[in-house]
Amino acid sequence: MIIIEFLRYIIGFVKFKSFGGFSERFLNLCNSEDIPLWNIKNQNGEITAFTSVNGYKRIRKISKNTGMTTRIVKKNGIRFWLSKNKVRSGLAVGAVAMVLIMATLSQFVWRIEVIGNVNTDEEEILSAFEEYGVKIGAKTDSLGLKKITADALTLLPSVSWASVNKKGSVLCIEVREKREIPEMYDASVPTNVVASEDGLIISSDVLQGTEEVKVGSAVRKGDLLISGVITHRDGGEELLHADGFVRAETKDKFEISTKSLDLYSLERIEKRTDIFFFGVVIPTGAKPQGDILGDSASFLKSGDTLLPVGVVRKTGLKFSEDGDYSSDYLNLICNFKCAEHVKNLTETAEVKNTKISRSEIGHNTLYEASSICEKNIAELQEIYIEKTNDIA
Amino acid sequence: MKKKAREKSKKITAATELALSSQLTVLGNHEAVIEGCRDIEEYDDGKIKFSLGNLSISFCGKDLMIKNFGDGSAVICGEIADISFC
Repeated sequence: MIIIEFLRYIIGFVKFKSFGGFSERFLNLCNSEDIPLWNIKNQNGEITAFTSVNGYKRIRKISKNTGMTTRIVKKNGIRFWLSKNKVRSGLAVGAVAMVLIMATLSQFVWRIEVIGNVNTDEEEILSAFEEYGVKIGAKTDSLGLKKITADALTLLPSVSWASVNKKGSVLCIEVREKREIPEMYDASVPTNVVASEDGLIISSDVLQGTEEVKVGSAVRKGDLLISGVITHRDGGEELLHADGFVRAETKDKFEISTKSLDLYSLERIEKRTDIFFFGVVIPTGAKPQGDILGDSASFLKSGDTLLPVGVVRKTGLKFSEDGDYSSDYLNLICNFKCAEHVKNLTETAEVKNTKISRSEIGHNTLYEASSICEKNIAELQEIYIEKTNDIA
Repeated sequence: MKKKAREKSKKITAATELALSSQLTVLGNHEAVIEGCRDIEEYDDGKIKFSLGNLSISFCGKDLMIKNFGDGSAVICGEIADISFC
C-alpha cells in the first residue's frame, strides 16, 4: 500500500468533489470507463474522491453527462509541487549543487589524526606519510594505504608498527613505538674504571674489580679508580670487566665576555598569510625575506572538527650584525648565558652551589660562573691485550 | 461419447458459475471487500447498495466510504451496522 501511495505521489493525483446530479450513475460510468477512484465519500449528496491526473481529465465528460458539477479540492504529487515552486528554482539548484559538492569533497582527505605516539613527534610522522601522498586534500580512493604504511615505516626508525584507518574523510594513523633496548655491555671485554674528570671522591660503589682509591682522596682526570686486574695468591693475574659508580665532588668553570657575544639585531619582520584549501596553499603575496619561522596555521572549525580550510601564516625575520647595544643589555645577556650553562649542568650532575663573578678588563666585561657539583666520574676504559703466538 | 461430453459441459458450467458468483469478505465491522459487483445502485450518507447481477447487497452504517472501486471489486470502510441481500 505504501508503494502504491508513493507511486501515486510521484505520478500525481487530484482530490475532487462532485455535486448536483446523479452520483450513483456518475460512479458507475467512471467504473465502466476504467477511471481509478479511491477514498470515495458521499456527504449530503456531495461526492468527494481521489483520482489520477489523467482520470480527472476524463471525468469532466462523465460529469457533464450525469449533470454533476466537478471541482478540484487539492492537487497532490511531485509535479504539482514542482510547478508551485518554479519561482524558487534557485533553492532546488542550490540543494543539488550542495549534494554534488558534498559528494565530491567527501572523496578527499579532510583531516589526519595521529594516535599512539609518545616520543615520536606528530610532525615527523605526518611528514613521513606525506612523502607517499598521505596529506590533506589527497583523494582517498587513490591511496594504497597498505603499501604507503609499509613505505612510511622505513622513514620512521622509532616506530615499529603503523596502520592507517579511513573514517569517512578522516585518516587515522595509529602507531606503536619501538621499545628502547638497554645497551648491553660486553662483559667478556676486560676494562678498568678511570676518572672522567678531576675531583674529590665522596663515595665508591664497586660492582666488579679492585677498588684503587679511597673516599676522601683527590683524583685527576684519567686516574685509575677501579682496576680490572685481579692478582691471585699464587701470583697469577686475571683480567675482568671492572665496573662501578664513583661519586666525586667536581668543579665546573664557565667564562663568557661581553666582547665574545655574537648578537644580531632584528631589522625587519615580514609576514604573509596564505589561504589553505584542501591541502592546496594559495599564496597571497611575495615570499617573506630573511629567516623563515615555522608556519602557523588556523583552520575553520565545525563543532570539534577541524575543516581543511583555513589560513597559513609565514613570518620572515631579517637580522643585521651591526647593532649598538647598551652595556646593561650585554651584561644581561652574559648573566643569562651563565644561567643557561648551569641549567644544562644540572642534567648530568648535582650542582651544590654556583658563584657568578664579574671583572672589568678595559671595555670588556668578563663573567665567570664557578660551580661545585657532585657526579659519577667513573668511565670505562678497555684494557688493551696484545695477542702473540710466542710461548715462553 | 455423449456421456463424456455431458460431464465436460457440467464441469464448465460449474466453473463459470464459480467465476461469476460474487464473494464477500468482511473484516470485523469496519471493512468489507466485495468481488464480482457490477454497479452502485444507491449511495448516500448511511447506505451503499451494490448490484451483483441477480442479487443486490446493501451496507448500512455510519461514515461509510468506498476505499476502492474498479475492476468489479469494491472495498467499503466505515462503521458497518448491517449487511443485507435483496
